[in-house]
Amino acid sequence: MKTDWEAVYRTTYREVVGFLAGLLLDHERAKDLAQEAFARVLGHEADNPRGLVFRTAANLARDEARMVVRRKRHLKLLKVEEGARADGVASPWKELESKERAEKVRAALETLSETDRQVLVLWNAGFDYGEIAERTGLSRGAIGTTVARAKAKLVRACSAEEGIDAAHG
Amino acid sequence: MRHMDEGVLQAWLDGPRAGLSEQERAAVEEHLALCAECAVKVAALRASTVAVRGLLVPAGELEEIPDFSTVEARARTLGRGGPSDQSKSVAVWSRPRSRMIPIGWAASVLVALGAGWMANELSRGAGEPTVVQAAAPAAEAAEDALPPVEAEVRRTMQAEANVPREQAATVEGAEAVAPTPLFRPTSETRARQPQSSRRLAVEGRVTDAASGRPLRGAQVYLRGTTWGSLTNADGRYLIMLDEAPDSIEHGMTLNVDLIGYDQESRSLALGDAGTSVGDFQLRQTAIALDEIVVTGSAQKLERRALGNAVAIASASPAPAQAGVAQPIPVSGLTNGSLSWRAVVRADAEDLIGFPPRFVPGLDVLSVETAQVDGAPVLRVVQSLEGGGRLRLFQSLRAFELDNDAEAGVAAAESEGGVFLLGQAPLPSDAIRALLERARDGSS
Repeated sequence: MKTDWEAVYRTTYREVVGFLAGLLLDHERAKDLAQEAFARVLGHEADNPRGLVFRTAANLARDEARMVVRRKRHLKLLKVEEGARADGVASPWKELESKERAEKVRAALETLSETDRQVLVLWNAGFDYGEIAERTGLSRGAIGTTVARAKAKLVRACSAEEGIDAAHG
Repeated sequence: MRHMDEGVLQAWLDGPRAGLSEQERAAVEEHLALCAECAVKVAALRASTVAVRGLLVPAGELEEIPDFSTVEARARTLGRGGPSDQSKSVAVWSRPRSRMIPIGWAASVLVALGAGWMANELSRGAGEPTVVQAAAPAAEAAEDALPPVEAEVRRTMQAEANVPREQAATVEGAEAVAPTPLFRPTSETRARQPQSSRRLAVEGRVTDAASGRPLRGAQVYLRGTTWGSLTNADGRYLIMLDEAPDSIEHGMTLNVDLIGYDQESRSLALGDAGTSVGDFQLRQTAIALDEIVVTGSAQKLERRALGNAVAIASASPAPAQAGVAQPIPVSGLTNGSLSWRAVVRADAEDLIGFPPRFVPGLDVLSVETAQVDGAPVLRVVQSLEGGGRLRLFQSLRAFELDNDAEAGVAAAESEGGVFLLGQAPLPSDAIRALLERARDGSS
């Protein structure tokens, strides 16, 4: 049975974007790499197409990681502009909302340590503990603890963000 | 009783992928049955999982999913052109570069495609899972609604699908030129893209006809439109339009421009969801540059009346102008070339236009006039007290001393715009003093 990549694409794209955004802390780049990931797996047969996409995406993200420090600095500059140019043609509000939300999550993820963030994002994408351990260099036994801790941290950070928003509003 | 570690609880929640052993799982379950505190922990972990999932996956209504065709197009450029930085660990799919596909491979793909599609069609439509042929008429009926390219692909697949599988897989010598579908849209995609929307993708490669080298930076565009793209380092280009205009519904002309090469153009036909391939080989052209001739024409300098002051500094002497008096050179007065004519003192003023000047107290020996360049000059000769004579030249035109320091000569301007020049066997200063004493004789 041939893998129906378009179906996989439709059901998984958003998750992959979220996954990559979590790893890269860059939503726009995440969208781009998500497409790249699908483009690379397209035409391959896979027992677990979803897994292949995520694994490919994770690899792309890892290759990208070298430049992360540089990009982060760059992003800080871009962030300012981004708010200013609301260049959505079709639905500027949705666009803005989407960006704000992505920005909020990004900020929350930034409060996590590099390892916590990676573990959390990989875990959320459905990687098994063995693979998470391999990719992050942690021991397999530490994954559960890290996941539990990172989840709590992220949720706390996000509600803190909301709190700030509420205070401003 | 020792409480359960949060990490273990999380692992237990994550099930098989956490890889807990049977004993570990059993231990967790036994404990949870007895410990309310740990059960609360599990509930909290579950809640945070839900929260995190919501945060990390962009909400559906907020994150548009780009059309799948963009991924397909990208895959094609990946496979054919290929970024050089393909990471080793990433599974990279390469499309066969050649248009000719290895026969066995092609056949199996067609069968796989066909079978997949049939299965799809069957499960979705008629609900008659018995014979392959049963679905064929239905597919044929649907074919009319399809764009030509797709219809052709479907026909091919159908034909292959009708061949028993084992036989198809071993077909030898069959021409494997059937267009392999890059992707066969499902009925759902088709529904999302009504026939009126004409998506269009044109790709290809531009090479040097002689050397076969890829040409970078060639401009490839649809004639009569502003749509086009540039070739990359590998000579590849990709033009994608979400909505092609009506004018190219039945075909289009692609132009390729690159400096140093002859322009190429070719007509390409395409169907609605069509992808076209246009490879070009460009022939080098000898670039002929026209000779450049720079011409200029002498034009009169014009001064225009502007609000600004226009000043022209010129190194050359100003040309003689009518009405503007030129200074009278001293040498011209004293070299004897002029014919001096004696005049009566009373008439002098009429001749020269001003009352003659005299140095009071000195005897007047003679009063004469002469014309210098059309201007009258009066010469009054007076005797000096210490002997010798003072020649006092007078004119409304200035006198030009060849050299200010010249002994025996001095010039001065007196009231009434009268210029005086004195010549005497005296130092310049002394002569200048005399000139200052010279007055209107009538007063």
